[in-house]
Amino acid sequence: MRPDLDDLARLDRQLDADSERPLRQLAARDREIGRGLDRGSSQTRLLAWLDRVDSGAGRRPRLEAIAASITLWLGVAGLLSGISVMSGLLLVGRQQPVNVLLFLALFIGTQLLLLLLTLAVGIGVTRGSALHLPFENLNPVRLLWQKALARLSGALGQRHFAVIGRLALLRWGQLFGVWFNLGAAAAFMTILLVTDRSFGWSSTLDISDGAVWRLTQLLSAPWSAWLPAAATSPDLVAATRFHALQVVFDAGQSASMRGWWPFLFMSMVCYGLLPRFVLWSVFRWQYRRRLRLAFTRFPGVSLVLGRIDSPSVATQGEAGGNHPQTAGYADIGLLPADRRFSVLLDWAGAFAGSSADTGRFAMEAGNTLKAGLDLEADRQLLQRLNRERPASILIAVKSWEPPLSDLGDFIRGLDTGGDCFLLLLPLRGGGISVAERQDWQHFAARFPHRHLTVLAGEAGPPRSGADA
Amino acid sequence: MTTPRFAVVGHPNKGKSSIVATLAQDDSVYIDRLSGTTRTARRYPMRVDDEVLYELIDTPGFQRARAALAWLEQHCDDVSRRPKAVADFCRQHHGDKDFFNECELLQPLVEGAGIIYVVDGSRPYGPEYMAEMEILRWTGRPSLALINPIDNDAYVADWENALGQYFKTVRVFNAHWAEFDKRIDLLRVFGQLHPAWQAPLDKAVACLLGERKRQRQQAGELITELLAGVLRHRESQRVPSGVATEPVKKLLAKKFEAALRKREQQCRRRIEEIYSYYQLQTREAALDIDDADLFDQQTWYLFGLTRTQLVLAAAGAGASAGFLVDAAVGGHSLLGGTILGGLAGGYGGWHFSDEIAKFSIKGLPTGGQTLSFGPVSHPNFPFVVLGRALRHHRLICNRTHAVREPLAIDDNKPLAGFSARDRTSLAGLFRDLGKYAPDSARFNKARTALRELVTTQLGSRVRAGQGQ
Repeated sequence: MRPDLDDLARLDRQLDADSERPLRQLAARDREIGRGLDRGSSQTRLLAWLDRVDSGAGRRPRLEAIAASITLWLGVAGLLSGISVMSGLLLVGRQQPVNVLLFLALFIGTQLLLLLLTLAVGIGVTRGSALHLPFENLNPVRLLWQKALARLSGALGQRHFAVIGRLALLRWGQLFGVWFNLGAAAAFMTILLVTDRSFGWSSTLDISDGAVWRLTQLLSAPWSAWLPAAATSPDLVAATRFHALQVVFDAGQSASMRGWWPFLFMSMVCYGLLPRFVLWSVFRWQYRRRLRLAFTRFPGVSLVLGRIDSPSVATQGEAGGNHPQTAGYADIGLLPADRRFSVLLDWAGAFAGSSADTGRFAMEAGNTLKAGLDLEADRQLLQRLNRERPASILIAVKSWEPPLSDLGDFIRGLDTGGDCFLLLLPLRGGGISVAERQDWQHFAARFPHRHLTVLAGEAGPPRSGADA
Repeated sequence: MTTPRFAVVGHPNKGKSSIVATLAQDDSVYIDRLSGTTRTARRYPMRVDDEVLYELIDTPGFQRARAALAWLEQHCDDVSRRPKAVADFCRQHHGDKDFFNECELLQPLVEGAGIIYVVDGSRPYGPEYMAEMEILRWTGRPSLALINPIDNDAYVADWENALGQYFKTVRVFNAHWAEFDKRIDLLRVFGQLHPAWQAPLDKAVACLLGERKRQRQQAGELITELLAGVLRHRESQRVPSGVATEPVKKLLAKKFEAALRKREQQCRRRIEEIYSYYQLQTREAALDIDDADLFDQQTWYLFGLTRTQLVLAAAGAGASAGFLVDAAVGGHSLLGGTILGGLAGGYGGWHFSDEIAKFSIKGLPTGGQTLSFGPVSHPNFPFVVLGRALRHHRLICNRTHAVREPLAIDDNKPLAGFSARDRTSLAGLFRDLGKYAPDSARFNKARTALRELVTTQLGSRVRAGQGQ
């Protein structure tokens, strides 16, 4: 029945592997799987998802096989133990009848004590705070099982699956008990059939017949009403009392002594076999339930279910994208105080946005010209400049705006033979940022065939640059 | 129905890519302070499973707007044929390197995309923008202008006046500081640009809101698992008898710290991925484990038994031997052999346990020390971990994908902002998470409660942190 331990181990392994993968890859994969799944419980969908992502290419955990082996061997061991103990009790010392009180102490009293202990541990386990017994580490089944469980999550396994692991042990304990009682009951009936074994009672304590009868009456209360033949009577109790050193019994007493067996058999069934079976069923159910819960509540499972069930929402860009440019940078200098320029071009109204004064740059009166506004006017200006061939041209640009190919086309069109300078004007109230300088230096580097110098109009305080 | 498309266009270096990165939640978009880094158009479809609800297109900036407008005016004198003229321009200049940028940005508009025109509110309006806006008007496409105040909002009012003459809708949108709600509002505005776009954009908004809720739940789940993990984490090492323990203690402490740090970092990376941050750089202070008394030291004997188990085992062996003596004398010793044997065995086990630990069998030591480090017992520790996780989440949520600065988380302060009642609840939940087995009902109950509390906090803290 799934999910089983192997599923849990596979889930653990898969989630561990997924933790190293990018989330968007997982989201795409899981949604793709989720869309192909039928609606159903979280457990069903999770199992189907697990079967798809973990197709068994990896090593199978084989925990279920180990658990099945433990179940088989414990069943066999329980059966053989029951047969052995019962045979030992019935067949040793045949000159005397089997002491009923010893029988009850062994097969009922001891088992009831163990049952109480099991119940205490079981309740603790289901509540989450397991009662640890001081000698439990000596249990070979526990050692074997812990080793197997450690495979679930490596070092984490034993602690992480503490309840499941202990419920498995409790279930196996009861399974052993069921088979022990079955073996004992079978041996009991077989020996009675093939031998003339009889029962009596004897005690070194001062116990009266009435006390024994009341004890047996109490024990047979569950079945005495509907199976009176399996109940005891005061006569039977009185007739079957014997002494430790007594070896000779009369015929009547011997006949009476056979009368104990229905009561003893029912006692074994009612106080040995039945409680064991009930506890085994309860622990088995609890174990399955916990396994299912552990599967659906495993750390990370809700994220998987979210990816399976929720629509995949992606807003990111398609493959490709832009990358940094690798072109070089031209040098940049400060405007020399004594430098004279033949022509000053105010490109795209650069002075209007800057606090810089045109009078500071153009030394020859009337040579401050506007450019970068009207394309046709720029063409005519180019023709004029190329005709007049001024010795030096200073183009004042807005440092806060990026250089455009529009300006590049104008500079390429200049054929004056003189020097050309780009003057970066700062925005009114600010300076020129490093990024802005670099931007213009980068622009100037695109004109290797002509001498284009970048000048910073004013040092000013550097401003933070703009993003692309 | 055709998918709504929105081409983000404008002057170079005005934050087009930043706006796309923010709206598409894509930190792979290349953003630089230098202009012209976007050289080709890139598409950012919003996919919900297989359905594309809308598409953003990042485009390079205008480079020769005046020349392009001149071409258009030269080839079209009929106002009704202007959109066709733009299409003719793209067709005719396809592959022309002079108008490569113009073709890249106009082609999506020719194909039916809406216009998102972006300007920088921290730089003044200039005449060079007129040609761009005029070309966009020629396309006849629904349009929206976004003022992106990159450095400051000094010129936002001027821009609103200028853009209002060309665009019906003008919005201020800071790509670096826009909260999630503002991004959603902007998408709603996109939907209002054309009647046919309303429905898909409304659906997209609903999907993004749902996705946001899921993201928060997933983050809550991850933070809860982190806490559950660190509260139980322990590093153990068995040290054979005779080996110095101090170096092992140091190693264990280092391993412990490294393991907790790894858990926290894994959680953070996953949360970043949940919010689509794949290239985020972080600058964070290491988790401070200020708890010196985390060592536990237990002596072990005979391959792992504790002293109690060893004594019990020895007592059991002694009792078994004594029982054989009792059996040999026919029970006349009144179980004296069993009792004496048990006592002798138990005493021997207790008295010689240290000697037993020094034995070795075929080179394997039979005893030694089990050193363990953790879990952290300081009651403030989980509050510190939770505080760091919540702070990290808030920074991630309030960040946009256009920001390229490293994420700085540089404090180790305990959690603030929780009410006294919540703190008490949290302390109880932390205690249960550390105490009960992870597959127990109590643990799951505590985990579920913690997840709900954390998820609620994530929502409120994101809201509280907005605008910071």
